[in-house]
Amino acid sequence: MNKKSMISVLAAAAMLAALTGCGAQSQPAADSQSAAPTDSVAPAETEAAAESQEAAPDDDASPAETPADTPADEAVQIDFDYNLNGTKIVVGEEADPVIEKLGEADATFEAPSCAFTGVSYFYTYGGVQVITYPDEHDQSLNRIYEVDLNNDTAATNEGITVGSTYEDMIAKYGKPSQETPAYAMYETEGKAVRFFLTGNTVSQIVYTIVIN
Amino acid sequence: MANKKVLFAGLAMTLTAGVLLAAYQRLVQPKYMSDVVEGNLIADYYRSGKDHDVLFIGDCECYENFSPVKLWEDYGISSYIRGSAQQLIWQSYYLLEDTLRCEKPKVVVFNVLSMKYGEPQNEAYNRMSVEGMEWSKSKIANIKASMTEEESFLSYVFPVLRYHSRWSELTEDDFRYYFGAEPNFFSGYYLRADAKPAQNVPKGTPLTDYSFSDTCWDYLGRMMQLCAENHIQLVLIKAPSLYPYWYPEWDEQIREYAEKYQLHYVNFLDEDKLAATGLDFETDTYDGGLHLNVYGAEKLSDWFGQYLISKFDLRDRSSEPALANEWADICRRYHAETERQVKNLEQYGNVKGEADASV
Amino acid sequence: MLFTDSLFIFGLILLFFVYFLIPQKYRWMLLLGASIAFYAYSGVFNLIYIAVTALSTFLITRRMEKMAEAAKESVSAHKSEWSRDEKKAFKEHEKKKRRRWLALLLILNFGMLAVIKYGAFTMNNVNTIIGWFGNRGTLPVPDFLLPMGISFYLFQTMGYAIDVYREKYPCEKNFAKLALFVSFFPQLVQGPISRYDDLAKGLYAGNGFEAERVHLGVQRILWGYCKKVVLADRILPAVTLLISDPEQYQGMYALLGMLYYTLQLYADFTGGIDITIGIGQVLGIPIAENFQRPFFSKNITEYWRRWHITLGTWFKDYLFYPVSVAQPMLKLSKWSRDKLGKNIGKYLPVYVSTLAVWFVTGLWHGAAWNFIVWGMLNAVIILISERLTGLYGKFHAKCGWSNTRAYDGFMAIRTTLMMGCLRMFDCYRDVPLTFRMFGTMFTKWNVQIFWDGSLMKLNLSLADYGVLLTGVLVLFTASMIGRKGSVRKRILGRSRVLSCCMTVALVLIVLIFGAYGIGYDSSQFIYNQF
Repeated sequence: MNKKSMISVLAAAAMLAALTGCGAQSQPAADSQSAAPTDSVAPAETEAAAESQEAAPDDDASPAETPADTPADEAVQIDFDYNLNGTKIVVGEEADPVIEKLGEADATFEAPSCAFTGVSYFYTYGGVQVITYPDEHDQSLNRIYEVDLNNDTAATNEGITVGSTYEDMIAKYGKPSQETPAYAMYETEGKAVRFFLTGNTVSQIVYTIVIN
Repeated sequence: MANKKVLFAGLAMTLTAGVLLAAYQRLVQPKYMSDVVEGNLIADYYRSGKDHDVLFIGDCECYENFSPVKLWEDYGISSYIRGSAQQLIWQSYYLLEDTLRCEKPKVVVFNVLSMKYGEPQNEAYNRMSVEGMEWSKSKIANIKASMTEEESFLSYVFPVLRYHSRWSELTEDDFRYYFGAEPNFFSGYYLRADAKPAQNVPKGTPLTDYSFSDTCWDYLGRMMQLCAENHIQLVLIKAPSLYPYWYPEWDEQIREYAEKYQLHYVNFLDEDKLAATGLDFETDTYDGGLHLNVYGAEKLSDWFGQYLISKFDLRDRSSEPALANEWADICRRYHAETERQVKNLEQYGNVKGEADASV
Repeated sequence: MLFTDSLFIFGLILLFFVYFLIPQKYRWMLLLGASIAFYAYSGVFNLIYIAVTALSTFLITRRMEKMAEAAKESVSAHKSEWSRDEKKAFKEHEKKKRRRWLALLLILNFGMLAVIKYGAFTMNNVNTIIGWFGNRGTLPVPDFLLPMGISFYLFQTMGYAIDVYREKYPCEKNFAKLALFVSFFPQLVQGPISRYDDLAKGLYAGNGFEAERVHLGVQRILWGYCKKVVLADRILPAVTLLISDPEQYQGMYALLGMLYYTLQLYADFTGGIDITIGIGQVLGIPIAENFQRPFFSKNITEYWRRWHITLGTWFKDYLFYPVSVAQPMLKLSKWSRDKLGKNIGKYLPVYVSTLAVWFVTGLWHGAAWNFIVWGMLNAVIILISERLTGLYGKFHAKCGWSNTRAYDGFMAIRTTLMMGCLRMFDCYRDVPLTFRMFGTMFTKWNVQIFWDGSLMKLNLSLADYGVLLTGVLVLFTASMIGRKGSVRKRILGRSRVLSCCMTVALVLIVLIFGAYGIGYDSSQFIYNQF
């Protein structure tokens, strides 16, 4: 009771950062912020309601046109969820069921939060590393933070591995939404795949939640 | 006459409400005694003798990795660690300002890990870092710099606005420590005597951007300036914590900065430094490489004590009676605590003892 | 800005002090300044709309009054020359001229409201209709920021203009004073919709400091905050959760959602009004009551006399009455009496007026179909119960037990539940969904949620339930006692010390048991919806 309650006071409140170490992953939870609309239920029979009504566009307002104009790619459908031995790993989603399905890891590492109970976990499966972080509201709930492909034994669902060339990547993924000589990134809502490059060669591939 | 009566009634009501609220506030403010003890680190300083030659500022990589007791016992260096969990660089800066109100150390040691955070991070850590400070201009500036979007300045002035709902979660501690906490630390050091070998420590995943934010550089500059104005030597360190990963790209930037401004910079993760301290990550860390235990902290402090003496004009002050007296008490508590934890480990398998087996 | 913003609270305390320290004749100016500041804080663009309303109303009411005066002078000048009929015709003619000015004013202001509040709604519907004919939504949908409180201040101001037109009272000659009447800040967020002849006197008088009045006002403000912060804001996350996921929360959950929303809305709305009226009381400005223990009503007609009173009377005075006596309506009445028989002929105009008023009432609440359906259902129930009045009379005459207090209680609960059901329209904001959710209350019998711990998973802890339950009991008790007069006055009458203790207790209750700050952050609750 006591530890939990203390945390519910101090930590369970809406926080910007997950409590992972005194400086673990650059804080992931930021995306939940941008995802949350700011409006809550207002008393409807008051003016406030009428306004919040106005603030939230009617559902029937915009079904007309949703052109598929993702600028990154023309025809390529990018899979932002990594598939490891038949298990789908979705970043941002609850981690424990996925980790259970993946079976025993080759190596694990725990990074407890400073002062609090949350833990960031690292699981290695061959050339793949899965990293979790504690949910900002519920420290005992782990979420997938990142999936790293570290060597050529692991390929993305599109068939790119560490060691593939930049051209291979472009051929499979199309134009990146962001790129520098050091990396190329493909982004969708809340998720991204990043290809880190050494010269013309992919040196590491990272599936991650998007941090603002 | 009637006006006086009204005024009196108004004042009486305000006063009664104020006193009752203050009493309630004391009750609901977290006591940080049995749990999350790190919350008391900052306030603990004001109970010290405020006579220190070396001041550490930084996050857990400071308050869990250096043993001021070791520095005192072996080198006669009086030091204090003003650190708290995930202490951000501006919090370190304002704590430095705050400390300078009370005393003038000769050397300030700053752990650079927090350079990676350019923005306010987390309310819970803010509270632990800021609330313990005594009121001063520095505290006000610290609050303003630290607040996340959902926080309000007012709730730092009147913490009851933050903790008011804790009435349903009060524990025995809240009553037992109503009038104040008991010292849990040793000149700002958080002692742990257990060990968990470091294994499979992950390398950092590459980042898209390795540059530190302008805010961090700004505070580092201000820190440097403040030290210069007060004729204090500033030493930058990177503590030997294996995780969070310290990127070579980050290290490079700090190195360049230190060179440019002729600051001392010690990265304990450098192989030669690591070897020189004699740290063994099989036995000297209590959480798999994130923080050192008391044995590791003593090894590190041993090396660092020599370093400090060799580089700076620090006398052995162990013969000063007032100081020796104060330190005797800290050392006694330190050794007793180590012994207690060792005993608990033997008996229960955890440092806390039977009461809490989950640690 | 909300009443619960700390800036508002500090500003208010400051205002109270300054108000009583400055000379009486400047006090209303201070209020005007505060109102402008309050409004500007929520967005400077807001000021433009309210300025248009205030200025157009000022100019046109002045114009109408001058015309009326001139007409009167003409009549008295020609007193001897004109026959009675001539005088009447002249008056009628002059009135018509004034009516044109009034129409201009009403069209300008309600037109503004129509475009910014209902523009998007209208265009969406038009697009839907166009869609039926094969085209896909092509007309642009306007997207305006709705100025804060526009439905309140606009109705209040238009009421004033209509009264001036009706020569109920002379118009306000000082623009700044009128601007204060239009923009008086405590009323801006959720009303009430005041009448000029009720409000103006107190507003401009700059009444002095009277300890007892001020103290009672402060108590009323605190009582309002208790309702709003302790109860409404505490239960809000549960309401949000229950209506956010209609697939999961059906059956008894829907019932629970309805009950929780009833409490949330009541506590929020009446709490806000308490704060408003309390502020008025402190400043010595009487503000009209907006509620009179609505949940003690025996039927819906009575409920609407006791809930949001100022809106109901506004519609009665400025819409129902004029519509009922309007020429087309009189014609309809005559036609129906002739063609459809005496019985129907008698009721038809009333029905039409009632439906019209409720249609507009629905629309007033929001630009969406759910509000319109909600309004129409209210009208239907009211009309049906009106028709059945005779039957009820017989029933009460025959069954003695139906005249007991227990039966009164039953009727009150019945009314409350019925209103709760109607209110589901503004919970779900979707007409078919509301009907479906209402249906699940009878088809999905998941009563186990009341004891299997499900209640604890609705963003409410045991402690929250404790506070809510205690709060409801206190509200109920206060309402029961309040039937015989103001509780605060009676306590003050008994003992001043006791009254002071109550004030201190209210402050502590708001601060300790209020659901505010981190942990009650609305974004946190929204987060739970995903």
